[in-house]
Amino acid sequence: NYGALPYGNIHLAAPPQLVDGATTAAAASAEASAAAPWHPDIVRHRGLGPYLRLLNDEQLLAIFSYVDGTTLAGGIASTSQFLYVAGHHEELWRDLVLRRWGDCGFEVPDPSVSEDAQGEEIDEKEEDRNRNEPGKEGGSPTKQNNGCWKDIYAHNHYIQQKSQSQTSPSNKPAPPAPKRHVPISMNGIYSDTFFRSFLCRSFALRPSWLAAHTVPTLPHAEVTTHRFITEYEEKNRPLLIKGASQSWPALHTESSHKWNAAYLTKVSQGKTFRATSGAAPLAAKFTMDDYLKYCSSSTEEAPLYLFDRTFAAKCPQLLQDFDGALKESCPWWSRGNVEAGHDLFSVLGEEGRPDYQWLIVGPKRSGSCFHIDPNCTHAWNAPIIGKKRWIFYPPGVTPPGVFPSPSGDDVCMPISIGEWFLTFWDAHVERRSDPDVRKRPLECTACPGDVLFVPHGWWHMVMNIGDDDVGTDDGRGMSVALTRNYVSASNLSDVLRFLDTRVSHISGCRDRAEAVPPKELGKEFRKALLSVMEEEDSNTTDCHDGEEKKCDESSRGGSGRRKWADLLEKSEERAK
Amino acid sequence: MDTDSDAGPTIKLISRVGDAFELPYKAASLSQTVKDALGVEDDENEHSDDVEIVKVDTPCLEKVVEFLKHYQKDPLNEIKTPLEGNTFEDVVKQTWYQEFVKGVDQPMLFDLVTAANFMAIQPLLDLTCLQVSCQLMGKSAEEIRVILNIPKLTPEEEAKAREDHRWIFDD
Repeated sequence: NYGALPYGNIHLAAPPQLVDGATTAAAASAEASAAAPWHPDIVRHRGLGPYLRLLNDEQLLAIFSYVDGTTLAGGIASTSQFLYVAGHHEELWRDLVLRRWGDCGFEVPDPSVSEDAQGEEIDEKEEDRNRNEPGKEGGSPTKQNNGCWKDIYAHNHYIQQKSQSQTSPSNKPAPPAPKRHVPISMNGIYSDTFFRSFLCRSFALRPSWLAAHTVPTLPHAEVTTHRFITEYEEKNRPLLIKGASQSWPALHTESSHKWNAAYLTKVSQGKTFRATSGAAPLAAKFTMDDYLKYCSSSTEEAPLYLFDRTFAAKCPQLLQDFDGALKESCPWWSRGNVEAGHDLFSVLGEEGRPDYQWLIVGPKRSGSCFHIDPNCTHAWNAPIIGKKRWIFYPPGVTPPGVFPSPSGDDVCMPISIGEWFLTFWDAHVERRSDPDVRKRPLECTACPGDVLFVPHGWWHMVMNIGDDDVGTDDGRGMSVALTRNYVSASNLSDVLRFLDTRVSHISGCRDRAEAVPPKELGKEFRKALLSVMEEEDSNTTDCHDGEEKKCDESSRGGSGRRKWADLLEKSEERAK
Repeated sequence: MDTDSDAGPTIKLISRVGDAFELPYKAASLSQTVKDALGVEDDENEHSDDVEIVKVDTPCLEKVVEFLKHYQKDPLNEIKTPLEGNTFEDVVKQTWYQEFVKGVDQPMLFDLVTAANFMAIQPLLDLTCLQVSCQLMGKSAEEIRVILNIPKLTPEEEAKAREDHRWIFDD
């Protein structure tokens, strides 16, 4: 870190003292400019000069966002102490990397541990420090892999220069390989902009944030299809099912397909995955190996989050590691089980249907800020590596820190999870005692082995909190999860109404040629459902006694299909 | 002063020392600050309100008004990143805006940045920030210090910085 402190601290600043007759560099330069006697903000004042000092930090960043890497590092960041800190702002370098190599892909250098790069999790109040992360209080700070975007930039710039000098030997020789960047801590820098970024990415997770458990929870053994559908899905209530995924090869301790960093890298065989963040100007493509390297050392406020919808097609092994076992352990979520009224979008075909399943990977403290899932779908979410903290708000109850526009079309909320926790936590705690019980938030921590049901329309926020109490080799706090969104009998009418009336908000089908386009989706969906129904009507559908029992328990049974067929007919009439 | 017959109702912007500049309401409303100050978003009515721009001096406000009036007729094209070139002229192709920026000295340029920020005029802010960046493009730390009038580093600070950025320097 660069030593920037919050602007308020400026009131505590004091001039640097002479020590034993020798002068510190700061005191010497302060003395040297007799025209500018010391004042608390002198580092900024002198470091920016008479023109730039008129601007605030945001404006400085706006100016720096236009320059190239060489100017930023060799020029701006070398000009003065203040500009050193400003010029190393992570987001500036992230944007430089993405703009220059976002399309063609870039390499992430190995984040080797450096003696000087020490990582400390910091807190707003000194007093709170002792209550956090029991293993780390007092003693020496942990040695972290503090990688940075500037290292990524330098590395790829170097590779490019080297290959250029190799192809034309008459040119100047290759430049020296870049060294790992070791931040120099500067004194006397007071800036909310630069401190806030550091705080939001480094904040300690307070136990009070993670303590509440109010999402309905059941052990896997107590969940039958019937119970799930009638008590949770149809009632649109969230449910955490403990142990539901323990049998999946991806999780099972005895299996040779258990997911960890090495396995994922091997199985993905150099394919690339898509990573985005609210703050980044474009998406980035990483190989799994590079993304995990980035993950284990990212220090940004809003890190890039791997969210890939094509993982199953790219790496079929990954799908095999859970899909079959999911059918067994959670039959109510069997993919494409249309006769039972589940996963109805599957009638549009694997390519035609909107995006529906994602592999999600992110570093500790990454996640998604409050949102409602697209297209009125339900979802299930299964952490595979690393725990996730969930906060839910019921449909129609806007969470603190979320500001929908009057028409409800656009929503404004802080981009980073850190910012939400640091700013809106108290307001959230108040909501827990809302006099109307139905408006209260629900919270839980989902662990690997659990599967969470996210009912349609519910606001939710997710934060990856890593595996604090388990020493694994999975990379510091990395999180890997699987999720699917679906339509079933219980939300079909809402989905159809949405497809008819909110065309501009339909998502998951706009940037694929094979997908049914938003304007057609409502119509095509109905058409496909009707033709499936007609097909089934023309087949015999009676269950024999023994089979019938099996039908009820392991699938949603005939009543499910009749239910959604009825709903479809009703909505057909409404649409006319 | 140009008087377009269909420019609509006009308002006056008052500088810090009391000088007034008249311009069409539509042009002035590019400034979010002005828009908020006037309160009413409906531009059918006659506005007799003058808006005091207390933080901006007369010469600077004059340039701002010049910008606002021209923008209404010929808006600045959005500045795309990554930049399409290394010089200002490569990025901003519209000649009026090139001339506008060339016609101000360093102090005025920075006055315009702060004015654009205070008055919340995004295109002017983009334009002026871009000009500052272009001045810095490709320059060494020493050259930047000259352009921006920043004091030198101590020899120790200089050595540390150089070591950190060897991958940029060719020697």
